[in-house]
Amino acid sequence: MVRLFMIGCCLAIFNLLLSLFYDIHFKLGILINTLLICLFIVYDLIDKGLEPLQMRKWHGKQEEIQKEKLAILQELLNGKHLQYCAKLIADLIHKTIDVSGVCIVWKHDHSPTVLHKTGMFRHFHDSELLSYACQSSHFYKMTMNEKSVFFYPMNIDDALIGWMMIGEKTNATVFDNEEQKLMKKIQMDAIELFTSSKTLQQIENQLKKTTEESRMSEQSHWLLLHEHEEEKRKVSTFLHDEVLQHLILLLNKLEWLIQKKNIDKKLFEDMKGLLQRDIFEIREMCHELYPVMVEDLGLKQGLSSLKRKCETNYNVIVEVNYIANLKIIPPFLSIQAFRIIKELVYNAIKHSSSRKIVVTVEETQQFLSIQVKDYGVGFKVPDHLLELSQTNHLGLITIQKRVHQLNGTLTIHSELGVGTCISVSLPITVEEGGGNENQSIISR
Amino acid sequence: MKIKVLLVDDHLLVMHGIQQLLENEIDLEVVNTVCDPALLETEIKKHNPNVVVMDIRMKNDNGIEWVRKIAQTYPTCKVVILSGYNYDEYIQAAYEAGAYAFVTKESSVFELANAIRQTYLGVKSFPINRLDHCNSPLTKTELDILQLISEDKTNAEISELLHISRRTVEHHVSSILRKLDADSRVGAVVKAIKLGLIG
Repeated sequence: MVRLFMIGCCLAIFNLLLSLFYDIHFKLGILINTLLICLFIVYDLIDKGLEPLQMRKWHGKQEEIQKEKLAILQELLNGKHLQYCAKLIADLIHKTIDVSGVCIVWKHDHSPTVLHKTGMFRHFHDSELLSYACQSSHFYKMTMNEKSVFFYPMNIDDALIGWMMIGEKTNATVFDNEEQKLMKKIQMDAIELFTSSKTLQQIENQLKKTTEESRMSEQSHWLLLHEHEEEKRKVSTFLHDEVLQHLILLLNKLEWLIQKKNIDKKLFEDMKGLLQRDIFEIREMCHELYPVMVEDLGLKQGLSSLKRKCETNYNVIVEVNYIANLKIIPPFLSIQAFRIIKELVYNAIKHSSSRKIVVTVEETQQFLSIQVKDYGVGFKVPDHLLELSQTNHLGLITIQKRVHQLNGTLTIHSELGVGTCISVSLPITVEEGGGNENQSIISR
Repeated sequence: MKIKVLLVDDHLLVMHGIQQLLENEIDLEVVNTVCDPALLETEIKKHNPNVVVMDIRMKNDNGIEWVRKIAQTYPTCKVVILSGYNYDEYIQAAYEAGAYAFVTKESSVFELANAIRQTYLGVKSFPINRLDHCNSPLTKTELDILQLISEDKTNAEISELLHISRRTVEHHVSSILRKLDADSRVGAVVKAIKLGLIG
């Protein structure tokens, strides 16, 4: 309809001008008009006939973009990320339009980085290119080294994720409509690809992290299993090599005593000494396996016994500060807290070479807060405690697991040559119906 | 008149062993033995014993809490604690709860009988570990260990050098500290040098 109206208007103006300047016969006028109409019809027919050819060219480019997009996606899935993605997009632009260069800038965590640059942009330093890229989230044009450069921003939900900087065409002509449309499409696809790439990268990083954690966790479980077995072996060896041997020896001495039929004082003293040693050793073993004193008398008394034992057996001074707040600490929590402190103190003795260890325990309204501090060699605290399992250091991992089970928190501060301070905070929750009344009271 | 004694322990074998030994003492009379502390009050009311000899730790009961209860409810009935543990903390807790004596299970029957007699007379007797063996001579092994401690050897090193278990070394060290009335290894070495025990 518009076309017919246009043709009609053109004919009317042509006839008006013709009649103004020439005195033309009516018949000749009709002939000229008919000729003109025929010319319009022929032009229209040729145009319509060529249209499929033009469309084919457009579709060809579209298909090419689609194909490249799939190839890029495939590369992304194969683990090639942002840089590779940028290279492929730049190649696609070069294939589609004859531009003098492409530069793709990615805004990663608020700091833009140049992912890929081609053509004219190769002559610029990254920082120089970044200085040109302003924070505008709209399309704009500027001149660099007397050449026009077009900035296509990439936005996701109003957030700017990067820019595509496109140099002018090599023949210095402007982008025609078709090329502009193609650029728009490439811009949209690039945004889509970069978003997918970013997500993929995040997923892959997470996967790597999880795999590493799972590997370390498996290793620590394996070590814990070994540790458990080792503990059993220790108890078995103790019973066999110490208690059993001494009992056999005592039996032999008793038989000898009966044979001699008189009580030899020296023999009796020997036997008494052996028995006393066994009693001491069994007592210590019992206390090591389960700190029954903590259950009977409370955490404070348990710590005082731990202090004495450490100071007797190692060249170390253990200072215990117990800040009581008349809280009822459930026996189970006291036992767990004692085990944690004992492990931390022995760790400090074993690894820190510190001659002084300070243990502070404070009962607050809702928490039992523990701090074990030494002034020794210190160590580099790993990002993840499970990393310690690689060096067979299970102490801290066991403590972390214990603290985690008790819904508590564990903080480690260590400085090489200065010392280590480990803080544990455990929530005090009274066991419902747990333990007997006497024991709860005595654990104050 | 004999001293009436009530025995309380959930280790039946040990309790009967003590009962037999105490029955040999002419001035003591074991009025009954109680395995289950739940029956303790009934037995006290029934026999009105002068002295209750009680284990510090029974399977489901805490001896210290029972001492506190008996001291408050039956003041004429005095308690002697018999314990498998000889840690200072237990001795202190028994004293604070109101017990009259603290005797370890491995002590001789003479010591137990004596503690019961003292208790009956109202005299408190608690082992002051350090004073118990103070000034008693060190054995040869103890002197060897003391010498090694003075050379800054650890328990693990001493255990290897003397071919004895680490725990045995611990036993000897704790015995050395007790005999020399010292608080730490360094203290023991200083004292031993002063006494001329080591060079």
